[in-house]
Amino acid sequence: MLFYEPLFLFLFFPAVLAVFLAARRRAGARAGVLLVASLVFYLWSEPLFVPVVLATCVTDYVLALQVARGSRTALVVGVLINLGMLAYYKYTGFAVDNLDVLLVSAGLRPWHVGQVALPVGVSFIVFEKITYLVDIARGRSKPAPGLPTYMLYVFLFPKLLAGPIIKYHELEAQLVAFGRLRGDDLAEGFRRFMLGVVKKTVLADTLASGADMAFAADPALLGWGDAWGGVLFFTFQIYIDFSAYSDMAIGLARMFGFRLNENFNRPYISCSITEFWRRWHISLSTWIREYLYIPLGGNRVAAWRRYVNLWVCFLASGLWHGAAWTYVLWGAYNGVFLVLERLLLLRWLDRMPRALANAVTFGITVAGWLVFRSASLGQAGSMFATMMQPARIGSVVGMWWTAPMIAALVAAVLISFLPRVPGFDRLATAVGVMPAGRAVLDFALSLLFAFALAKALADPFKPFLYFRF
Amino acid sequence: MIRKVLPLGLGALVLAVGALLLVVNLAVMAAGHPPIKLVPGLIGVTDPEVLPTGWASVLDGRFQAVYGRLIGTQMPLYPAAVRLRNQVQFSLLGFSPTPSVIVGRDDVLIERAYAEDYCSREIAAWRPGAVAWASKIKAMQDEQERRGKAFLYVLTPSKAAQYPELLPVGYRCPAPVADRVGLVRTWLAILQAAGVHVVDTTAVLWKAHGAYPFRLYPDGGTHWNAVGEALGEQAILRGMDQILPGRGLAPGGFTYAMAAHPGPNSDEADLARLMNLFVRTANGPVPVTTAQPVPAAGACQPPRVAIVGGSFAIGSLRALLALACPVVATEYEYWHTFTLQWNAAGMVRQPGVDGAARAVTLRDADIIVYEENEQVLRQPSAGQELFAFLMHSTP
Repeated sequence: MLFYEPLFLFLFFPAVLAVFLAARRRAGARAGVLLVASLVFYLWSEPLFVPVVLATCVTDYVLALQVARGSRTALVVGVLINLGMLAYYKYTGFAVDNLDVLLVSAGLRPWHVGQVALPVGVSFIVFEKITYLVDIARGRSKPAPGLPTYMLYVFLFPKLLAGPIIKYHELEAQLVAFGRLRGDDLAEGFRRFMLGVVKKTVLADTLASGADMAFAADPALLGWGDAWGGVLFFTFQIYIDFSAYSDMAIGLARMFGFRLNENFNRPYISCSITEFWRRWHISLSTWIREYLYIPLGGNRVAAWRRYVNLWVCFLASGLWHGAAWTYVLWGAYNGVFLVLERLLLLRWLDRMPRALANAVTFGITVAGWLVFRSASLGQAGSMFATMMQPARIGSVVGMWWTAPMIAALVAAVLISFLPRVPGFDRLATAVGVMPAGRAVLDFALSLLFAFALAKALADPFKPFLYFRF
Repeated sequence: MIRKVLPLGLGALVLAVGALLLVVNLAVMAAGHPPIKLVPGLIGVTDPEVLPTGWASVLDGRFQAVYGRLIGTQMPLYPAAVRLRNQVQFSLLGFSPTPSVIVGRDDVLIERAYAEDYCSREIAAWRPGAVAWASKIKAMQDEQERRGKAFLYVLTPSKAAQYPELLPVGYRCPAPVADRVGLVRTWLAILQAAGVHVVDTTAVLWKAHGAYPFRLYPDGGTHWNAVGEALGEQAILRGMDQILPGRGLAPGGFTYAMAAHPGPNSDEADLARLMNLFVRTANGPVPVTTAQPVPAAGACQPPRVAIVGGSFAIGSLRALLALACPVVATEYEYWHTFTLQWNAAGMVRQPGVDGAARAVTLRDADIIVYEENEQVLRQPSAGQELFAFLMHSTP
């Protein structure tokens, strides 16, 4: 069940919100409503995986009590159980496929394993569960007051499927307060949720059709402009899409009394890759820093080891995004630039005019997205080769950027780069604080939301002519 | 506070009303009644989706996926939502919200399958299969003639091929021009070499370009307009008359007058209707034809006609009704979808096809007219069924 699907929008969400508001005076009832709703939400999407998560929640909860008493073994066992779950569901197929290639090339019989279905949100859940154990081991958090509280942390439906990755210590105090509504939480949360739905259905899905068209074609038959077009469509699609999910998650959580940390902060205005990773998928970057980079030695080790660790962290980040060599390469590619920036690139970028540094950073990011979106390393290579040949004008295959795609691209470019225009932030803030300005913006957002709902309902309807109906 | 929340309230109101109406409809349906619809239904055919049953479908998520898609269609506001989205996309961006329809230049609508066919023609790759198919068509003709009957092949035109200049700006048409325009010429040469009796209505329409103060296709439709159709009918009747002379099949003329668009039920707006908009403006006057009756000459010996073909064949024998000797004709649309019967009273459309009756009709027909549109030349389907029937049925 996705947040912009009719089932969620018109049935699940209104029903849960209504019951939650009815129970708003009692903390236990609020927590109960949210926990049951979250379990139903996830059971609907992943009925076979929920029992596994429930079982590991119990082991986490029990082990955490030992961890709190200083047991390193309990910590290691708990982390390994969670990583094992991730490895099994996400990487078994990838590992066996690659092993089979080696076996076949050595003249041996491949090792066939059945298809392991990848549960939605497994990567997010596992990383969050690990933070619980580690935060307790570090003395940063106390064990949850009860299993239901911990389960609510793991299953809280607004952030369940696509993050942000919430560290246990970030939510601990709010979990104890059990989603108490404050001030204008409902209105602010709903505003943010509407923004996410609009960004996802109106912009991201339209950009996706442009990217899909280019990446579905044989790159050898694409022209220079279409190859660049496809990669740019994806560059903006992934930002608008992912940040839209975060908007919806943050908005929904707030409507249920939880404040989640921001996950994106205008990443495409970054003037270095280091800055980009401070602005992009912030919850993952901070997770990697706190739970991987620092345990590997952080900044306390020798420079060469710091660079290796940094690169390893981004390699792991790539693999976390997906079980394919393209993701591994994407992680390694980002890691290389982060290391290069620490060695010399950052000094060069700092000396450049900001717009130029921004353009260089954006170019490096776009090349990364090309690898990320490609179905294989071969496709990434061919596409890159086409992008480097401006003389290849015109596609052999039919490529047609439609008016909605162009309009969505223009909107995405404006959303991404307008904050770089001097005075934009001041103007936006001034309009936002004016009651009339705010009302106009909210009204426009509501209208766009109504259209987004219509689009979400209508998009699956693809009629065709049938013998002169 | 109210002023602060009110603008947001519109979004919440839409969500709340939608939710309320959905719950009402689900309750109505649970009580065994048909769902409430607040806006007229939608036009067009979609692939039907059936809700899977059984625990296995729940455990592997198929049930949830289909239910998630179907639930939206149960909302009383579903047709309104579709029309709202479509209207915004069409009116603001000039873009067709229906994937199977393209908005071309001058706001002319083109069915995507025709544009894609035209823009992907590749004679070299297609030719071997075409030669083989032409030999099968000739085999059907030979079989008919062996039975003392006649066979006529009719080629009908595609809007995208007749008016490629209407394809939208920026629409990629990677096929070389030689292949795009040469495919039909090549096909006709192959048919001629095989010895097939052919009526080429694509050439008839090409000749008529510029002869009328309008195009020969309606702006909002996929099939030829009344004048294009009348020209095609005349060519077909002339072709039939040549094969079966003296049977009263020589066509008369026709006149036309421009009339206000007949409205949303017209075939001439099938693509416009398929866009499912609230308001569409490009519905100007269209030509309406009147066939001039043909005086009887001697005794009536009307032939029995069987037609197998696609959607262009449907109206293409309207002129039969103006012949002095009423011809009884039966048409099988795409072989199995529906049956059309022509007699003195007019045309009667019946859903579905009675296989046994079709076998009798085809067996007894004095002439079988087999129609193909140039768009399906690379994948003829109904013809394969006709071939199998003629080659394997006993005369």
